[in-house]
Amino acid sequence: MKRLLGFSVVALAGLYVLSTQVNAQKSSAPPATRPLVLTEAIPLEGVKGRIDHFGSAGNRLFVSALGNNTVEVIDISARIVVHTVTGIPNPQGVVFSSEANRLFAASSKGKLYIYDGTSFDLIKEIDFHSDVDNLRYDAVNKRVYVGYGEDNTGAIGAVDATTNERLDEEYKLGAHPESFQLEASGPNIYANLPDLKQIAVINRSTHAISRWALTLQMNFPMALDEADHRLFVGARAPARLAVFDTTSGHMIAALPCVQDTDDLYYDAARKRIYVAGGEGFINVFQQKDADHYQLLSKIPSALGARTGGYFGKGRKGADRFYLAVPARGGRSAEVRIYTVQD
Amino acid sequence: MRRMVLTCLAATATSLVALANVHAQEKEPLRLIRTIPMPNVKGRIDHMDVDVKGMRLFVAGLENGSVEVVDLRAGKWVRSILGFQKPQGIAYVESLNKVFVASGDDGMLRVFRGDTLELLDSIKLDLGPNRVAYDPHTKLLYVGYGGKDAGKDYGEVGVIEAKTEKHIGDIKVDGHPGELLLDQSGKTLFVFVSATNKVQVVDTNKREVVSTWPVSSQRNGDGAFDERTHRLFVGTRTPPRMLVVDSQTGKEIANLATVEGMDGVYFDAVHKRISVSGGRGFDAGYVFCYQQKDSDHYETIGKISTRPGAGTSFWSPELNRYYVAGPAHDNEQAAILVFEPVS
Repeated sequence: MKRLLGFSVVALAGLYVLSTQVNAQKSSAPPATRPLVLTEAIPLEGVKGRIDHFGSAGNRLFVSALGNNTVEVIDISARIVVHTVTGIPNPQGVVFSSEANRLFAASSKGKLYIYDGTSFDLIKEIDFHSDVDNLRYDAVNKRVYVGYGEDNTGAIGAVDATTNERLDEEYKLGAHPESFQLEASGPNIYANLPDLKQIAVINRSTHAISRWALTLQMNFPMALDEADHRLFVGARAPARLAVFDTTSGHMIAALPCVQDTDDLYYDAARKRIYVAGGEGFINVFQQKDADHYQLLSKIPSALGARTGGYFGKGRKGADRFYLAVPARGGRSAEVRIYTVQD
Repeated sequence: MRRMVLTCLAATATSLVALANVHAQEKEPLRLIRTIPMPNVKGRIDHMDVDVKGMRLFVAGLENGSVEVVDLRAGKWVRSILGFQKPQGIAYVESLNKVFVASGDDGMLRVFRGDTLELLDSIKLDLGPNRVAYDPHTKLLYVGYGGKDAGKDYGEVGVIEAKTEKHIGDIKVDGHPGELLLDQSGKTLFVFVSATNKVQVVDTNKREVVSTWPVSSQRNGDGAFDERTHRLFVGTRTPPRMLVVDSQTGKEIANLATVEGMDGVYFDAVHKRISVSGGRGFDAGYVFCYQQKDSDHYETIGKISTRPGAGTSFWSPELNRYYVAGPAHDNEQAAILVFEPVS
């Protein structure tokens, strides 16, 4: 009974913290000036350790619980965990192919795991031998691009989502690729190579690889604004949001940014960039035009909350930013939901 | 050592939560007792009303341009009335043997004979007729319309004499009206204006707005009223919240998370529960159930899975049934999901 009481107090304290945060945000400024409003949190009971990247498909959100060796499947309508995929050592990148109804999850231990998108039964493991990390899905070609390897083995490979077979398509990069982005209107893949202080530009048609040398270090997350030919990169040393012109490779801007970032998203509708950082903030930048950027808001979040998910407006205009908050102290891990506002 | 104890406590707490969740799933507040397919009904489904004596459910097939009639006794779809343009609100008035149907895209309120369902009359309003509310004391029917749908910066609530089918007046409101909630006396009408995130309180004798209350979230499309405790339950879509508001002052009493794509809010006065259905525009549908512990305290007691896109619902206290409209999707026909509250 004493235990139960203790737990209730903890749970209540947790609720209280959440509600005060929600209230604190409410009273701080009129709604129009708040780009992200914390509106809810989905508890991930029992999920331990670091949380890595997010994936999305329709109503479901996929969260790589790296330190827990699971992928948590969340229904965003009910905001409940509907499934826990177990048996993946240190999952990192996660993508879903709606066309093939398959979930792809990358393991830092070197394998790509492929699951049925309904039952989440394991269909296949593909061994890339080292640090499978970021994944990107090309829906047109039904192809999953796989960032993997270390130093000399670092590369982006490809898997056919319909056959689950690894393809010959492969781009050797000479370093472990962190975040990379696929161009939809062109052949390029842009990849962060922090170990080489470079961004690699891979032409999927010609297989040519060019490289941009960086003055900033530890370039991890990345997002692409194809319409304006801009690439956004989160650097950790020093902590900057760097903006590159994809036509020239020139750095257009570098703004002070939240520290320890691992996820960054571009909101094309609002011309904003969302950056989650383990320092304990989400930074929102406004793109005034292709060459001019400004910090719009610095939203306190939680220590270690360095990854998140933003997947644009849903069909009915539901527009949410998701932030992973790992378990800390007596509180369970959670996925926070921020409502995106104009 | 102390850490270990704490870890053990945390682990125990986690297992307790897991147990509680399992337990909660075992005893859901609503039990699905029947699924009634509605053949050939395509697209989004809107509001409903029930004929308690005749055990018929009228369902607005919004994108199908139809009103569907379901026999609740037999558990069978009976017929479609076709040819509407965006049918939305439906009111069955037993004492007058009439069914009123509001159509958004042609600006009409149509009147049908209740038993035979033959068309009796068509009342031309402006574009956007949506929800309807009937006052049995005065035999007046209120119809929300206008606003953005009609290219206007204000909305209207039309006053219809249900017996004569005459449009006898209008009440000007802030924007296109969503939910309309009448009190039992028929003297107060709550009008939800989702475009401006407000609830407007109308004095039906004066036919004018007497109070306007902002709500703390956006797009307050649907609601319910517990007159005994003076509480309005307001469903909002951005973000998805269920707000409890004092119906005398407009003050917010509670604020709880609710389902995405919210499109139906009902209060079950017997079980003291609020049900919020949602799923419109989403690949999954749920009903969130809340227990009213007292007028100021509410608790989420269930999240019941329904169907993809299932936004709207209807609660019949007389039949003790909660109906959720599931639109057709993939290879599945549209259907009415019939739920019974579990005590």
